[in-house]
Amino acid sequence: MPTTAPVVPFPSPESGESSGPNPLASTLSPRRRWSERLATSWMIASLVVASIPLLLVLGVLIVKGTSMVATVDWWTKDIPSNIASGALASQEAQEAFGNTGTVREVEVVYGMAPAIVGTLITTGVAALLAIPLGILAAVYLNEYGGKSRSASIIRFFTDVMTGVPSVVMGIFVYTVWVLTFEERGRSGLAGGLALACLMLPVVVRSTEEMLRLVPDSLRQASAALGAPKWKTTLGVVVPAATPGITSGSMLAIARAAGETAPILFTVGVVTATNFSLFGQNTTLSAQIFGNATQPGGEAMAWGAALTLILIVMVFTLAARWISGRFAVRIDG
Amino acid sequence: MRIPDRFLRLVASVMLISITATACGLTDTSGDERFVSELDGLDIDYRTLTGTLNGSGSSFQDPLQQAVSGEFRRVARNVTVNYTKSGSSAGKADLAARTVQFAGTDSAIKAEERADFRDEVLYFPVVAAPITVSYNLAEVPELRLGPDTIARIFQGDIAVWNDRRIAEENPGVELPDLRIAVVRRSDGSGTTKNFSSYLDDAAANVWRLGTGESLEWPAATQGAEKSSGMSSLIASTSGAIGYVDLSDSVAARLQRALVRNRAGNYVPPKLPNARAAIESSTFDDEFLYDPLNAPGDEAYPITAPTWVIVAARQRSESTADALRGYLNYLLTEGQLIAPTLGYAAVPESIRQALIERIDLIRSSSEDRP
Amino acid sequence: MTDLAIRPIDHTDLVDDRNDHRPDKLFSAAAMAAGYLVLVILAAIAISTTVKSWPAFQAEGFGYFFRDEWAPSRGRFGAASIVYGTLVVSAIALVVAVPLSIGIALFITEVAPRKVRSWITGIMDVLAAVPSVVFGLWGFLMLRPYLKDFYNAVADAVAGVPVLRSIFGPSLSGQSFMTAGLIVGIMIVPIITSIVREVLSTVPINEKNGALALGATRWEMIRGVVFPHSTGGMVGAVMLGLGRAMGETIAVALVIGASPQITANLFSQGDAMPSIIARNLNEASGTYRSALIGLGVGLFLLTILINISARLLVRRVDARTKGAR
Repeated sequence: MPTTAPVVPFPSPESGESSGPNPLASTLSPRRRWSERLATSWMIASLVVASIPLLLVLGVLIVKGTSMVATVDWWTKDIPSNIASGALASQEAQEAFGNTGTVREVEVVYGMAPAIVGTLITTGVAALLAIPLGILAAVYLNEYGGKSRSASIIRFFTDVMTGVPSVVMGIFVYTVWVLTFEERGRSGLAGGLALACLMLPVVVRSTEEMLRLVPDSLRQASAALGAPKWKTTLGVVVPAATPGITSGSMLAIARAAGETAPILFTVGVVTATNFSLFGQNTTLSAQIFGNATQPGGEAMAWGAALTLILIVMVFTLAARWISGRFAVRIDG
Repeated sequence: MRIPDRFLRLVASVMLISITATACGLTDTSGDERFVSELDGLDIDYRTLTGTLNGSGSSFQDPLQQAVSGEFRRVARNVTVNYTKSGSSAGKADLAARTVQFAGTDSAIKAEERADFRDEVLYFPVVAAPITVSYNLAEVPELRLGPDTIARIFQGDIAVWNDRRIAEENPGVELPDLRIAVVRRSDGSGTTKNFSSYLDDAAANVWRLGTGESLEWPAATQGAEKSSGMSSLIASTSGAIGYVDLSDSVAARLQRALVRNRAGNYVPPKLPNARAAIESSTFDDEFLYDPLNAPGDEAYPITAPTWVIVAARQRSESTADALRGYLNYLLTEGQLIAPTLGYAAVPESIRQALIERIDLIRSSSEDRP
Repeated sequence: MTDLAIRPIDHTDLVDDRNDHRPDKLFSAAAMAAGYLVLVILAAIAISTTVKSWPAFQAEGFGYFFRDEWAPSRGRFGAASIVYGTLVVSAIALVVAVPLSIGIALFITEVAPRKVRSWITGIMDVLAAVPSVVFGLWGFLMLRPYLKDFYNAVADAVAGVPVLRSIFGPSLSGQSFMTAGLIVGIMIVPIITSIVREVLSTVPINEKNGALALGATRWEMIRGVVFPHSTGGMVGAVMLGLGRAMGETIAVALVIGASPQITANLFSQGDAMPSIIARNLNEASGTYRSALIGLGVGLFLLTILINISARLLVRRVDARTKGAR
């Protein structure tokens, strides 16, 4: 311990961070100095190491996927069924087959419209099911259940449910819906059901957090004016929490749009656009998975991945923007 | 505290534009002329056909079905054909349950399963394709293998490439002192079944592993899932050898061995040789046949057959018409598309007989007096 | 609602209209039903999947998870190698993710200036938003070839060392437990980081400042004050990450190589429970299908157990620190 204590600015109470370089640094032993540096390097290195794959993935997607996605055909045409033919339409391949004569022209029109529509349909169905039910459940937990036994149990298991793997949700809808209705059961609707099961706990928890932030004074004012509880909830509390609820829901939608496993078992596969809830469909995530291992399908997989990331990012960034822009206004 | 109007308007206009674009792209009204193939077939105007045809089954013929159904859609705008590669057994089961109108299968319906089918089933052997013995040896451009050698390699009796028994069949070729990495399917597959059936027949005294969609391979072998998995594993491993469909082998740019056939000639796994195998096989009344270890001079001995099977009686007239149309297309234009994908078209005499057979497909309403 | 604000209040507004309780009762009943829906769905999942997988349990016995013989075409469903694969991949993922996540969480809470904090959380959010299939695609097409060379280089380097050479053996295609573990590790970093952050924020500031005032370096303060207060919560966070890693399906399916086997070689191909289900459920029938659904039941129970324990741990930490204030 030093004998003279230099004047040290006291660290500010509300920040969790240390207040800058240690004023006693000059008196540190080399071992302590090194362990401090090592620790800080570890923290920074962690951040860098975790960010590198992210940057690589996004970079590769943009480089490899843009040429596919930036065409009108991609957004409007059906998924090509002649990719294999296209990959084999070379002189080399035809000679290897033993075919003589001119190589037959194969025009592969790269389109992804069916998968884009399918993603929107399944995610839309999931949102329509999960968001209202989720808000209602959160209303129960926060406005009616409070700290009661049943509410705590529901809250706990909702948290647990967020950790259930998506493949299990897919198996669930597969066993209950597809195995019952056979091949007719494979549809955008079934896929939406599976995604809704995934979204529900997330919407419930995030909505409950938002409802909790609504100050009691609003509820009391509404009650003092004579409004019955349901009117207070629907007319005052929920609207007050709307930005947070919207942002939480959009994050849930973004996650659902990217899911693959539940889709694989419940939606089937098509190459032509299916606007209906019924009948087989396909989604971007399923297309990426299917094309990843198909020879000649790699380019389509990159394009579909870029399209999917665009959709997911739109929702994620919109959610962050909304919560950043509006969240502050609630307290007051 | 509401989402600002400008943001909403932007989102709404983007969605509107994309939906409109999608709708416009989908109402494509090009080319409404009647299509007639170069090859002779039934006189059918594809434009008059309507409905949806669902098929499922063999993954071996899936690339063909995808390509042909895609082309078919261009000439028969009102018919949608969906094919799902769920495996031959699933396809046969679906056809028995009438959930699909046609099925793809690499093998005949077993006697005990016949009872599940209420109607007569028609077999159409649409294509066949060589199962190649593909390998990865940069310094060996041509490799000759007889059935006994192949059997010994795949069951682990021969462990290195410069083994005496391989050298005997390849005089003058410098074989490296490299371990043989045997690659085989880890999932159940008709290709494994055909390959093992061939070895069981042609190398009967040597082959020990039996036949079937999945075998008890020796531990030293490497398993890969699906044909594409096998070909990419062989492509990335020096000294590897495996059994791969011709089109996957060509797509992966693998080297393919010449195999000694029953007539004693070393033939390449090319389509003319596959066609020779089909031609030298005998077809029974139902058009079932076995081209494995075929006797022809130029026949490639590991040629695998595949059939499209349909019920002779269809429920509705429009389904019967659509089905006849699709089969006609498969057996005319489809026979021109098949070779480009690595499938051997059927010989002309067989094809003509099959065309006539299409007429046997009738709807139940046509039978009523 | 606005009419109550602008017109004068008369006594009818203040009198409780006892005839019209029904909307309130209806609404609260509907809300409660929605609340219980979560429990209903969880129960439905458990029941339906167990029922559908019953034929497999009947044919193979409950121990089929622990027998090593997976040959569906011959009717053998010993899934030990698949369970092994799940455990190995999750273990590798944790080894990768935990140091990174704790490092990042500490950086956010203890080191970073306020402005930088929102950037870092933004990066974490974006990382969390990337779908599993996209990571799997990148891992399969881009990462795998480089990793294959890397693995073989490592294998060559340790070829002489007895134990190491079994663990780091040659790799044929780059698809391996290690590749799957690396990718899943990166994917679970955001969730572990966010929970560790929450836990770290409950450490009493006074104790932290006290340590600093006594002359501790920041790292010493972290080791002496922050860690002791947050071990429980961190363990909970790690377990949540473990649960997520076990359930990770698609990225693993693309890079693990689809060859169920039990081997010490981390660079060899293998298979994992969710991945084998994802690849085969559609085409499976009969006992095979039941066996796959049975694997799903096992996965469900496993992740539920891990999540319950993890949540209990995190809650206890929360309650303890909040109660002490």
